[in-house]
Amino acid sequence: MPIQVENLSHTYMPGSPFSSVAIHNLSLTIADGEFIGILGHTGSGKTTFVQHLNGLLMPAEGRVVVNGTDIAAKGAGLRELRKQVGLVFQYPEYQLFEETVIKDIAFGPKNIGCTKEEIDERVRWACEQVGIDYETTGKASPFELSGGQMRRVAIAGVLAMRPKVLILDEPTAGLDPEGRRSILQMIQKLHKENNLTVIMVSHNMDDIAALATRLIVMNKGTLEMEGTPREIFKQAKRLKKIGLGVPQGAQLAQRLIQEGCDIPDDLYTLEEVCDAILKLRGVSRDV
Amino acid sequence: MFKDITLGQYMPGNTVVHRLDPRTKILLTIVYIAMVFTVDSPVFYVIPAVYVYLTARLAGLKLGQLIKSIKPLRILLILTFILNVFFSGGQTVLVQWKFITISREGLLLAVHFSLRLIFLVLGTSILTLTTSPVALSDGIEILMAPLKKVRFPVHELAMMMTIALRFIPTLIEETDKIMKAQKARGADFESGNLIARAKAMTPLLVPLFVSAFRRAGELAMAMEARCHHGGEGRTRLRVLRFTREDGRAFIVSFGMLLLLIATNILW
Repeated sequence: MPIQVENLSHTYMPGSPFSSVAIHNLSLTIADGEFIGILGHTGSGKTTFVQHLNGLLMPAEGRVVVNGTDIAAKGAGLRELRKQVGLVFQYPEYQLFEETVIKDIAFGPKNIGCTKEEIDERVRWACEQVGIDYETTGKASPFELSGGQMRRVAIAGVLAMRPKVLILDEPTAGLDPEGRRSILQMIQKLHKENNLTVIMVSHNMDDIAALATRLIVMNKGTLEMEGTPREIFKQAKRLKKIGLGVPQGAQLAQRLIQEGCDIPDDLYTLEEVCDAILKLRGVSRDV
Repeated sequence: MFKDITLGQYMPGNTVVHRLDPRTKILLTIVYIAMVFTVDSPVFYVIPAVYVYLTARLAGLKLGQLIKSIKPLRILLILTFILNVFFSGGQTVLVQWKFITISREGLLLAVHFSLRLIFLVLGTSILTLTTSPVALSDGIEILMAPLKKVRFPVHELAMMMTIALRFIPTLIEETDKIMKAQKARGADFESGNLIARAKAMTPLLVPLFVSAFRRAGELAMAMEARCHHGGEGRTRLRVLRFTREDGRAFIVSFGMLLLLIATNILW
């Protein structure tokens, strides 16, 4: 499911006094099996951008081509597209509505016309993926669950569509550290074991640093930077200028360099920095 | 698609009419309504017409904006007109065809009632076009203050109005978001017959209600945390004051009303 975005522009309420440009001339390609992190300040157009990838918004200018089909073309089949590209919104727990968790997760598969057995199989699979117990929690009302569990159920609701591309908009917003860690682990597992293409929107640098293989930095609706985390996080100044920071690891590394330590300038995880410091002192970690 | 809904009809501006105290505008609207009901012959709608025209000019409103406010009324207008033409009887018969009779009196009455409706809406829409919803509910609260004597919850009512108005855009945004989220799960809100469509609304309405209740609870908590305890002894951020402009508006409006009453007596 490669995704190509060509010169995409989007304007909200065009032609009215309230019109605002959300995306301007954005081009990029996303290959199969990538883990993309989309970074950007509030209002940089991240959310607007990802809503184009499954046809919730249509490009005002430019094209979005998913698996060789232009999403705006006649007969492109939006339902088919949404089956392939799953989108988990910010605070997805607010979309739950059914009487039981199982029924809620089954909503997607039912909409795309799965048979009863197929639905049940998909629900069980999705529950397992997000760590929800089918027998106990599955029969509870989604409104009785804790915030973290509700979010898992909502993600399962999208996974049950069996998408090839999974987009998550701020999946860890508002969770406690434990909830955050387990959601991130879950996403990582999904990416690795099912070979899902994952696109994760976030402004939490540490979340992104831990997972993404390629980063896209957006600023005011345009593509500001693109590259591997190592390339991007090296440019702390540029990130700071557009209202973003760097992960803790990179902060520590930069500070150490300022203080005169002889370590590489492109470290960004705490583990790497730890190893570099130990190396400096001539010891290896497993001692 | 939801984003281009404008709330109410308020057109911000800084004209004499916009600056008038909301209380003045509410009271003058009542005077105006009295004026419209005093007219007893279609010819004298000239006076409210002049009044509306001048006020609209002063408020910098375009004629089109006023006409727009009559649009939703068109079915009622047509109905009023037809019923009055055909069923009011009368002496001077103009048309007689089978069971249909149109009399001169009936026609006059039809024109009279239609004009009355049109002018009622025209005049009152100037109020909503030039007064922000918040100012309006402030004005209503003060004007209704005497009702507190009989334990009528005036402040609570005004507060409810203000909060309801404040949350309309928020709820619209929320609806848009939930709709998109369900669409991403393959929901279809657009096709199918009426029953199918009504059923398709469940995934939208349940989360919307849940979030509205949650918001209401949070708001109540936040208000209590800041010691809100209703109207008693509460001062206001925007203190309403009558100015000279209000005085002039009163004089002109009552003058028009008197003129109309005089024409009624003299003719």
